[in-house]
Amino acid sequence: MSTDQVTSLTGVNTGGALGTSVPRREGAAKLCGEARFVDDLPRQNVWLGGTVRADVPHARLLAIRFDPCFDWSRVVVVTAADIPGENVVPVVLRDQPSLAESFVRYHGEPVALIAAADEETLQQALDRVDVDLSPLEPVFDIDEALAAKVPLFGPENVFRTITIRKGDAGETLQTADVVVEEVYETGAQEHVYLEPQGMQAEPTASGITVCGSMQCPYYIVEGVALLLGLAQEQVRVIACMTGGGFGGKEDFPTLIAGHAALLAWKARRPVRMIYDRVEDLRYTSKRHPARIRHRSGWSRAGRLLAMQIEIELDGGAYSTLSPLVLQRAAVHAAGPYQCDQIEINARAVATNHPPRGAFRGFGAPQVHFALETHMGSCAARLGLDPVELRRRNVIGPRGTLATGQNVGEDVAAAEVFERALVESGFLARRAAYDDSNRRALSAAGPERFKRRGIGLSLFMHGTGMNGDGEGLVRSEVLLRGNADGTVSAVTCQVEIGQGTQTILAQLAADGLGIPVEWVVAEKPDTAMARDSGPTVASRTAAIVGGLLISAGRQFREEVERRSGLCKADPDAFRSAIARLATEGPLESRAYYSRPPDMQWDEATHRGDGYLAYTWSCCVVALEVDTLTGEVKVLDVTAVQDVGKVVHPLFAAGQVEGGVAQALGWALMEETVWADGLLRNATMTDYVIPTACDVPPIRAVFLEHPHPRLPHGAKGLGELPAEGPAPAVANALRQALGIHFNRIPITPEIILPAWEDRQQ
Amino acid sequence: MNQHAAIRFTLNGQPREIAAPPMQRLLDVLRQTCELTGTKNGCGEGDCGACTVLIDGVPVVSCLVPIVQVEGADVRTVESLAEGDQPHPLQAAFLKHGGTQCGSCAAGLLMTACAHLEHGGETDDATLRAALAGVVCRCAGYQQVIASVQAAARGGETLDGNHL
Amino acid sequence: MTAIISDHRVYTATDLDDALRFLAEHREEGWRPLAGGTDVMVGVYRDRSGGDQWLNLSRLRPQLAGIGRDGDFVHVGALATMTDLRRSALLEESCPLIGRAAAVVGATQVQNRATVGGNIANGSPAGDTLPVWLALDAELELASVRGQRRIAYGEFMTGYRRSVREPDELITGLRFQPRSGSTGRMYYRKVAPRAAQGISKVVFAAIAGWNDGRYENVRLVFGSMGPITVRARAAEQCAEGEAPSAQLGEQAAERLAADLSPINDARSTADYRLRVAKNLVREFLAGNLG
Ligand SMILES: Cc1cc2nc3c(=O)[nH]c(=O)nc-3n(C[C@H](O)[C@H](O)[C@H](O)COP(=O)(O)OP(=O)(O)OC[C@H]3O[C@@H](n4cnc5c(N)ncnc54)[C@H](O)[C@@H]3O)c2cc1C
Ligand code: FES
Ligand code: FES
Repeated sequence: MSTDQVTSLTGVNTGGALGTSVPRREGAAKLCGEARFVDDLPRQNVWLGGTVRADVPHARLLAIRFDPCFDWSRVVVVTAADIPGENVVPVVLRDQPSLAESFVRYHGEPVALIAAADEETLQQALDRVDVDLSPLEPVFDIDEALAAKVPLFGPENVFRTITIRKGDAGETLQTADVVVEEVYETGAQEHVYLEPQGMQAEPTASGITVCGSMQCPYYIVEGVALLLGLAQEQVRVIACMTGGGFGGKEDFPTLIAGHAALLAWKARRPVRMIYDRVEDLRYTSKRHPARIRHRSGWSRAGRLLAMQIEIELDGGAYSTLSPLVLQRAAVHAAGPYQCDQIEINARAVATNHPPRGAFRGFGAPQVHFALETHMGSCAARLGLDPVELRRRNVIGPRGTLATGQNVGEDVAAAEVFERALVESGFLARRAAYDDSNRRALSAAGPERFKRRGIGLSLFMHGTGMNGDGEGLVRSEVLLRGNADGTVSAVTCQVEIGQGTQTILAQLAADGLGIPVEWVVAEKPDTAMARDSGPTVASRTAAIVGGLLISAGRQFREEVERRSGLCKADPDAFRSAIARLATEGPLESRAYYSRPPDMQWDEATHRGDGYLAYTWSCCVVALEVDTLTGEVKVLDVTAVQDVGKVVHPLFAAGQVEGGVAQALGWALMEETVWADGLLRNATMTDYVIPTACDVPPIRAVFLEHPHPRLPHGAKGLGELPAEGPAPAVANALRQALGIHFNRIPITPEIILPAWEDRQQ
Repeated sequence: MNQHAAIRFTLNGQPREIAAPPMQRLLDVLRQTCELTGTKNGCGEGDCGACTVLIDGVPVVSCLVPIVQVEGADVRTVESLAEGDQPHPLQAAFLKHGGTQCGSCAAGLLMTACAHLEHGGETDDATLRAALAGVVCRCAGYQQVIASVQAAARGGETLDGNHL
Repeated sequence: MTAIISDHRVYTATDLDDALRFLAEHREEGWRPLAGGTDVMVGVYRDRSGGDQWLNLSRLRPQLAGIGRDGDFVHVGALATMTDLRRSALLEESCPLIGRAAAVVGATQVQNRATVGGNIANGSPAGDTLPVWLALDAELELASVRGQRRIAYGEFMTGYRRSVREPDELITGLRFQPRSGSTGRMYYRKVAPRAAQGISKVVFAAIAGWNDGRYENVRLVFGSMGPITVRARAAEQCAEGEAPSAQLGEQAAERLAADLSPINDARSTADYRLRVAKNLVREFLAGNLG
């Protein structure tokens, strides 16, 4: 499919809106500067909130001292003692307090909150609080944490352990011709959504209203209700326009929303909390750093006989979403290969780093980096072409994944792989680079120092939440006919840049059989929308969109039944909606329920880990300057089967953005920690790719609709961010003949490795 | 030398006079005093470019400009681009070619691109990437941004008023 | 307690004389010049550091932003911006490294405000124009009510962010003798964490004259390799009077440690910095760069 195919921006699309690039719903408002993000809301009468934080990574909290010389009546102060409800940030395990009470477990943990009428008063007040802490020994290293000398969580400092078994890998490894064992490590990554975290809360007659930057309005309903001791019905949450999320606004906003709510509740007035960039970089969640050990057993002919995989995630000081991130990591760890003997052992470990959280890919990028880099090493050990090695082992129709999930006919791993080889000209370019690398030393000028390589990765991503996850949320959507004949799609999916409002309108329109322009995608507001689930896990188009299609079909039937119309022209249908809507409520709802053929056993991790999978192959070509170790990525080709492309322009945009973010993770985004504090906590020093760092990216889509989803769309948000890192490592292997098993692969790592190799 | 300086400047074609602490950054004056919130604060220290505005026709990061230095200047923000219902060609092209996703970087990219095109800058890929390097976009991977600017430069990007 | 924004005071000088008079009269009060503000504003808002009394120089631009010839010299006013440097045909012909350095200071938005005087006075070891001025043997002009003095740029910095500038002095400009590519070899390289908008991990400017196929007046200058921008004098001496060769490159590179004192910090490592410096010097002197 061509990605620049844009259909009419102005004409009315009757039907067929699915698969066309209709205009972004909120695009004009964003481009005119009229879209309202939380900090753009009117400021009149709004107080500003700030956070008093601990300045050591692990300590007993003795006292909070307020300088008596300051006039504290000018501000409102909240400490743990002021919390009317439960002092907790509920995510999965409920181990994290909203404000530290007796212990501090990470540098920067919130201890108290202050609100003031203006920024300067707030600043002065914050400067006049001292926190008395009695430091305890901190742990930052996974092994030290596992030694459990410093107690942080449970008896072993482990948030969750997951084991997945298929056959008996241990036994097979003993008899395999070749066993390859290596350890891979990935670093923490910061989301750098361009709009920092922000929330505003305002007490109302019946409870409290919270609005702000978020992905998951109902997480915040739960969190604020618990914290303030209110019923969930008393908490209304409205998502503002949200300036990027990438998972960083999945779990973390529950904390800052709680803080804004506590201040507003006590101050009895609206309070806004906006993190500045430094605060955001230091204290909000990051992608989980991972350490992954692969032991794989091979036949001499290159058949993958057994895989033993150990995964350890550094979860930071509190569990947040680590148990679920770990689950996705474990289920994806063996990748898109057919292997009958698999053993996966995964642990999420507690340390004194700031809590880690959701980040695009949710544990999968880490395991794909490990496995696809490992495939490169295995090919080298076996003396086989890595292309050939993958061909021999890629999962095919009716193959089974690590959890025993039979992929049926829905498997495009081989197809995306072959297509990517063709689209990128992989084999020819690989040969050409080998050739130019060999001749480099006889070249003149800068060419002399250049080495080039091309590498690839093959991977998949499970749609929606793992196993029972979707069934437990039981998402609900609503379509409501309006008096003007339009139909409102009511969900709590948040527009964070991915095009939710547009795509959900397209999907609803498709189910309804009306022009997309006649669908109003309502803003996420928990007073209007029931829980349609979080805006995460590439589930918006796939799951929520699927529900809207079903609701749309029901809605249409209902209108046809009540109006006696059948296959009416659109205008007549619209008039019927308008008439019926004025007579009384005209609504249709759809709920998610697990497909009857989907089996999952959460205790043993056997069965259908996910509803469906998207498949992708990513090819990266790059050039290294061996004088400096700097890497220039030349181009990227990403081929993916996403089931159905709902909006070609947005789909390409997701791929391009995801690839750029992953190239940053692979090559430059390094978090430098000292004593549990991020040292490079500015955008000067935590660098993300600029327009000059990101190469041309070619996105190619295959469409194999999945039968479990009404429209076939399997989701796309996370997938593109999962392939570039191992493809970079594999390309560097060709360019330099060096195998890097740890990212980010910075020039500081490349240059010494290269020079030592030349000796 | 008094703590609140009276500053006169032109904002989006209109003369303005405001009183502000002289070292207050232009960004805050625009967003708070003038209530033009299209210009965004992404980092507050010159690195992200989200706060880019044009001063006397050239792009600058408004988070690093003390208001005292805006005296007598001509300031243009993203709010000045569209004329009524008529989008600026860059806005139309960004809408059509995917130049914005979450919208946080939009004002910065648009104003930077606007100055580049007004000064007759080249529109090949490499030149545009260098010209836009001061605005980071975390969502879009830049390719659709570049395509949008190129489309605007080619001309003919119009949309119905009802899209803006 | 650090200052809050409304406590900051600004005096906007009407012209150079007014500025100098003001600095002299308030010599003891800690007033500091404010040029493009790109360093000052980061300090004021991030760390709330750097003082709270500012002498605004923006009205001095007509007097201090010029770039022109001054006899045998080329003169650059302190308020010339990086954009001015990039666009100057005179500078391109007098030493193309200047424009190259200016083009890698931040990105366009910063270049439109950042001034030469600010880059010099700020004195960051990572200042990207500084190696070029040192390699050019440029002379700085400092002015005060007591008059004007000229000093070699190499004598300006006395330590980490410390200089010989008196509190009542302004940098008004600098001058240098033009060097063209035809009379020697020159090279500039900034190594930063990304392709644009990055702070230098290593920045290198090299200018060497040619005499009968041999190097003379060799200047090998590094930034981010110690507390201040430095010449690698031992390596320079090694190359003086020699013809380009791989062997010369190797020898000179080995002598870099004598003058460079890189550190580990959040941006890079000492080991990496030194390796890059050696590679650049080796290949420059071998004739493979520039
Ligand atoms: C996002 C960003 C990126 C940057 N990237 C780079 C980079 O890549 N390379 C680089 O070298 N720098 C970089 N900088 C730093 C900065 O832009 C430069 O140092 C710039 O040249 C400073 O000039 P200015 O006019 O803005 O100085 P100001 O901020 O106005 O002043 C800087 C200092 O110099 C003093 N001063 C200014 N003018 C004079 C004068 N005439 N006489 C005496 N003292 C004076 C001031 O009192 C102050 O101490 C960057 C800054 C930012 C914010
Ligand atoms: S807010 Fe000004 S550059 Fe980021
Ligand atoms: S669109 Fe989100 S940062 Fe650019």
